[in-house]
Amino acid sequence: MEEYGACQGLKSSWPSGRGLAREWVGPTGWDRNKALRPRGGRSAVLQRWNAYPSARAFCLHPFLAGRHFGCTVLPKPRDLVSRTNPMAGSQGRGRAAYTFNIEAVGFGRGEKLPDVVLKPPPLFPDTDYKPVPLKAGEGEDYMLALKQELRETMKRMPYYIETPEEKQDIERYSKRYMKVYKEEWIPDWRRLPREMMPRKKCKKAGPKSEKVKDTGKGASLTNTADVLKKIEELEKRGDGEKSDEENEEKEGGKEKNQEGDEEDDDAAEQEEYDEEEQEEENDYINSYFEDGDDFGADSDDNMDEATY
Amino acid sequence: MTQAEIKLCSLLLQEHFGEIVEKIGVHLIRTGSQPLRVIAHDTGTSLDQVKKALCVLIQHNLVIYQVHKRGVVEYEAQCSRVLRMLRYPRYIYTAKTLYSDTGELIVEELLLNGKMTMSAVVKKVADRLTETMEDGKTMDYAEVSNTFVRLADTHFVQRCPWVPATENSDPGPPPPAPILVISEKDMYLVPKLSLIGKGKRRRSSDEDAAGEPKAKRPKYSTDNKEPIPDDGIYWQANLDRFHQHFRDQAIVSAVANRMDQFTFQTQTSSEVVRTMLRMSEITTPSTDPFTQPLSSNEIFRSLPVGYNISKQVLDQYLTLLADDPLEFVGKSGDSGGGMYVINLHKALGSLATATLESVVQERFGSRCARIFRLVLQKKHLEQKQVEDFAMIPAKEAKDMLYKMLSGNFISLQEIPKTPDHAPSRTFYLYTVNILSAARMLLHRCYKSIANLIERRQFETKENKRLLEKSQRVEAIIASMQATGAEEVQLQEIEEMITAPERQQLETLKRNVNKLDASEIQVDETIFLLESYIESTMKRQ
Repeated sequence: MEEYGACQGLKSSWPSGRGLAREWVGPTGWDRNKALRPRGGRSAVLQRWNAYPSARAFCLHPFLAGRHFGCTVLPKPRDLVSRTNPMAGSQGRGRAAYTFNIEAVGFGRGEKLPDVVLKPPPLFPDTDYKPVPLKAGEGEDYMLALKQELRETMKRMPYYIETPEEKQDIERYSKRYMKVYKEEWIPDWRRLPREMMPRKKCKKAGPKSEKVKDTGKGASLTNTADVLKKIEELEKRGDGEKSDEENEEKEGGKEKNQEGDEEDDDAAEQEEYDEEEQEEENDYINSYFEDGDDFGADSDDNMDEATY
Repeated sequence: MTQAEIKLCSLLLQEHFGEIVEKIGVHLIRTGSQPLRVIAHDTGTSLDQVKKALCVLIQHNLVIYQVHKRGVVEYEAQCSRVLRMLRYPRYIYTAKTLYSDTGELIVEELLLNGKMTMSAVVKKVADRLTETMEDGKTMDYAEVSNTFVRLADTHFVQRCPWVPATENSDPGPPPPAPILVISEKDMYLVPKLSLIGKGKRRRSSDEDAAGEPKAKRPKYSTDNKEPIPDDGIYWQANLDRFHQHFRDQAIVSAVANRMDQFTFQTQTSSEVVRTMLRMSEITTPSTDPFTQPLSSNEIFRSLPVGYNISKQVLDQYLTLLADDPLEFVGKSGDSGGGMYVINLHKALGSLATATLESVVQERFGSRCARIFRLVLQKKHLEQKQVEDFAMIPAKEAKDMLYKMLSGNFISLQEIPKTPDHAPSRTFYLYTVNILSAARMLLHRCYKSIANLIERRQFETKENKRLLEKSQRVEAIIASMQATGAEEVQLQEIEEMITAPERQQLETLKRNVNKLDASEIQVDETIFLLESYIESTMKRQ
């Protein structure tokens, strides 16, 4: 096994007279190019040593090393070996590379060091011990039931905002059973920031459960609705521009800012209005379906029991 | 916020409020407080939807808002509050054990709706209770509101911060956001309401079920027209109070486990501790490290009626408790027959340490646990000492020690003899830093709950078709039963689900139950660790 760790020490096989061995050893190992390069003088050695803070923990200070052995000449490899491990005389070169006693870490003499691991740990590692079974009891069972019920109830609360789902090619008959009726929820606007409130205080002001905007209904949209849609789109674009302007104005001054706000609110009002139009369109569709829904409404409660 | 926490928050929000709210909520958790327009821009969501999502989040106390100098309102998510959603079943169950079904439903409604007025809660709960009762019986509003008052008196529910009434002669434009105030004294003050009436049944089983969805809407709008007596006074569940209750219960059961198995009369020492905790429930703020000192005379008087132990015996028990090395109970003075306190901070520390120990034991085995306890007890140990004291062969001991070190249960302290940090001239001492180990474990708990939820969602998604089918069949059967179908017909429909499908459903149900139960129980560990970390941080 070749060992080019961070603390190689000296190798007798390396070309002599080229400087300190640890000067060649970067954090990644022994660099042949660096090693064979002429030395850059004492300051260069020091600089390099300083550049690798992690190396300090393992390698001696380059100048200290020489002094430590009470001589100005470099210590011979054998000296290093005998310092770190007095029994290592017969051990050969490889093992002597460490400045500390590796037996203290738990490796016996002549033992191979483990290979470097270069991959992440497994996703589902084996466990040495089997997990203990879960606590069971009346309280635990009740909480489990509560949790599952709560999860289903949450879905039927008006707070659960559904994403408009994409249209399916075939409308499934079962969809009708799945339909959930939600109560309307009108937040207490007094407790909310003013910007939360849609401008019109009408019945539909509450951010009630989003009506599923079915694109499939597009076919039934009349021409006027198309026009309305276009207007809305245009307005949205205009709105975006305005908000940009508004941002600029904000930097300008406060009075202007207020103006911008008002403009903005107007736009919001318009938007709201348009949305209502749209909703009415959807409302019609919903009421159309409602006749066939009695069955589903009835079975609504029964479905709760089969919840996960 | 660590990544694990954000991930968990995202899963919880998505499960409870849908994807849009999840998107907005997670964005707010990631970025901190932001104004409305920035949120809409950054998430690429329409302004309208952002508004709706924010309304939902504010309603559930998951987001708070603040007005900044220039009139900009900024919204901020409460991440730790989002994580509390995991504990909802436990809050509800606790309310049930303390205040029976009525209390359970009150807390459930408050948690489901975030905040509600008292009159709305009482009405809703009375209706729900009436529906579960037999025909002809109804639940009185007065009874429900009595329970509500009791919950408020014991601080399990509290008022939300409210909007102060403003005079109409307020000059200038109204502020961009209301300023909510809160005063300690009114927090638990129940408004005087004369709620008279009885819970209504939603429908009388048969024929008006058909017109139900249509009939519902006008009914609600008429309800809104009559003036609400406690308009604007909203209530929420006081989660801190629940946590205090959980903590007290954990302490009592710990004392019971430790002491009562040695004593002749079972349960006495835990009953003493329970009495002490109950006496200081209201007087001690939940964050204090100690309870108020209680004299043994006071404790004697407050013991539950019918608990026949003499004063001498009580004193013996108190001395025994105070002498216990875990120091759950401490003696703070001699006046009044001896003053005793409960060291809440120490108790939480012991509970957290015990949790760590048992995790090490279950994960690495009992011999590792031995080493872990040894290091805990001796504070700092060198490797050689660990091997000797634990009386485990050196090689194995090292292996175990390093395993725990890489698992971050044990930490390593370097003490260099020389300034150069040479390894040959450095002491390496192994220690257990309980606080950091607890944090590490807490982080793992969050991660594992997120994993559990993802697995559960995966399981349900895999079997989506089957689940839908079984729901459909059940719905059909139920409706046929209602119309009085014959037994043969029902059986025929029941057979639409084949035997292997039934088996598959059973397996799914078992798996999902297991995952759900694990979530609840991991959350128990989370609660312990969080309380410990919180109490330790307060002391520093």
